[in-house]
Amino acid sequence: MVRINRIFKLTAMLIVLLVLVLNLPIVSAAENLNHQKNKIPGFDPCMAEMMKCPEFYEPFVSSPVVPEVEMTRVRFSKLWIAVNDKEPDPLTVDITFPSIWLESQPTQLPEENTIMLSVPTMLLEHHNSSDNVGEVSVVLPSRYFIDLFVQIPEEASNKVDCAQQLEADLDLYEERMWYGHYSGDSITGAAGIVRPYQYTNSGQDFIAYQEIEFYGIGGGSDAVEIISQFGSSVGSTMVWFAVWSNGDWITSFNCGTTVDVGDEVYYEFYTNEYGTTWCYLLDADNNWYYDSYYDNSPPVDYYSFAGSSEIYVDEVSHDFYVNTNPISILSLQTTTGWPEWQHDWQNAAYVYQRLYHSSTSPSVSYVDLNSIFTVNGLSFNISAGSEV
Amino acid sequence: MKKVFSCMCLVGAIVLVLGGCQLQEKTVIATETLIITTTPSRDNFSDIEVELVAEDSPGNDLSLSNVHIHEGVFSGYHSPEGETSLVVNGTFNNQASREWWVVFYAEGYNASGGQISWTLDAGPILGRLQVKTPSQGSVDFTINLKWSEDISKIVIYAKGYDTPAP
Repeated sequence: MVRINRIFKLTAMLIVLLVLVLNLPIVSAAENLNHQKNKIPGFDPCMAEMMKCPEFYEPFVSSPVVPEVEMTRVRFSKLWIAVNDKEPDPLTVDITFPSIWLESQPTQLPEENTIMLSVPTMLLEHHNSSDNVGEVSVVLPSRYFIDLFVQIPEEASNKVDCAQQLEADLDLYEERMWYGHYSGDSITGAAGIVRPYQYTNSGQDFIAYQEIEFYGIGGGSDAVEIISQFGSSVGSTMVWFAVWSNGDWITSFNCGTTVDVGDEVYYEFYTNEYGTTWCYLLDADNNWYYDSYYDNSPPVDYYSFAGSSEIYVDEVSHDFYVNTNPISILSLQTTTGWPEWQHDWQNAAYVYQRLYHSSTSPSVSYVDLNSIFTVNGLSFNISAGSEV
Repeated sequence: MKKVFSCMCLVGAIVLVLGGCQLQEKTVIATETLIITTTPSRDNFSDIEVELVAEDSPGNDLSLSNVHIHEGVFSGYHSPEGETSLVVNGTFNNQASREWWVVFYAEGYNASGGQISWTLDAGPILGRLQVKTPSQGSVDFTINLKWSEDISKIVIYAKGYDTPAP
């Protein structure tokens, strides 16, 4: 009996060992796969070698599309929108509709006479400013309504001035245009368009960030960036958000996607009173992407906005030119504070009234930017390039 | 009569005191103005302690050398016309067998440990700078700090990333 017990115990131990031995490599392999996915080669310090690694150009894994279950789609008749849209700005729709329409379609009209609001449910909930549960009041970009899209007029792009000489010991070249906002409302979010517009490259290795930086006040070095990113191949063009919290770049934050050059991507972000920043992207194929980040000392006001052209390049030996036009702010979210928090989205005319150009950093080689500041909002035309 | 005299004395005293106060106030204003318009200057920066605080990556693999502090002029977002700054030049030494993109900034503290100075430069964002530190190699850096005569310690904070921060 004792012998049988021993044999049983030995068998059990063997089974446990076997399971451990068999499982460990599986776990390790999975970990290795994840590790390799994000790994930049460390054996060769040369930047050119690092740039050969495709992951070099992918500081994020492209975000998953917002799943259908998290989307809200409401079909409106075009006539109803035309009559009920309170916002004269063609880029914005300001409507109030019965909340029952969220569950049952309000119209049985043929599709050609309708337009469809198609947004993440979370975004719609956050935009709803109505206290009445029986209705929904929202101010949204026209782009969020499929088939109501209004084309933004194209602005002429200026080619970069490459006359200046490269300083050999520097890798980063950057230029910024700064805008501030007048005191009064607190600005807690922004929305607009990013269009990575032009790409030519005859073999230069580089990484270009063309972006608007939104700086928060009251929470340390907090910032949100909407970025049009170009790399050494046209296929590495991306639009994505970066979030900085207390001066640290939050690399786990993931809201971005690869795009075709020429595509327009809509973006919006906002920070609520509880400390969460929500970022959304809508690509040219009507796919939505989002992520959120919690900060226990969030900015209560985005006080400064900078168009920024940044390029990292070692040694320029080939012609290249990349351009984002426009990257724009078309609307701003304003917030009144305690005791009754009220979030409102303001139109492009408000952007023009409340922002002002404050300064531009000195010109630098290989980068250029200018701005168009009108009642249609604030747009930057941002370039990087070289002629050898 | 005595009462009248006492009252006059009291009124006179009040007038004198008030006048004196006004005079004193004017003097204070003049003194403050003088301080503001004086160009900051400090002959010796060798007594300023400089410390590096590097986060887990690159952590202890990153060290400082060749640190030199001097007075300079910085033009940036907050002062496009230029302002006096405390310039910290130095070298980052990376002992790791891999390259890091290091985002860094500095803060200045007085003798009692209060923060009185911050980074003026803009790299990837306002107030942050970035360099590429080669594997087992070095790279020079420059930081412009908000000027203060009372800085007794500068702490440089650094954090490494796989890719250049946007």
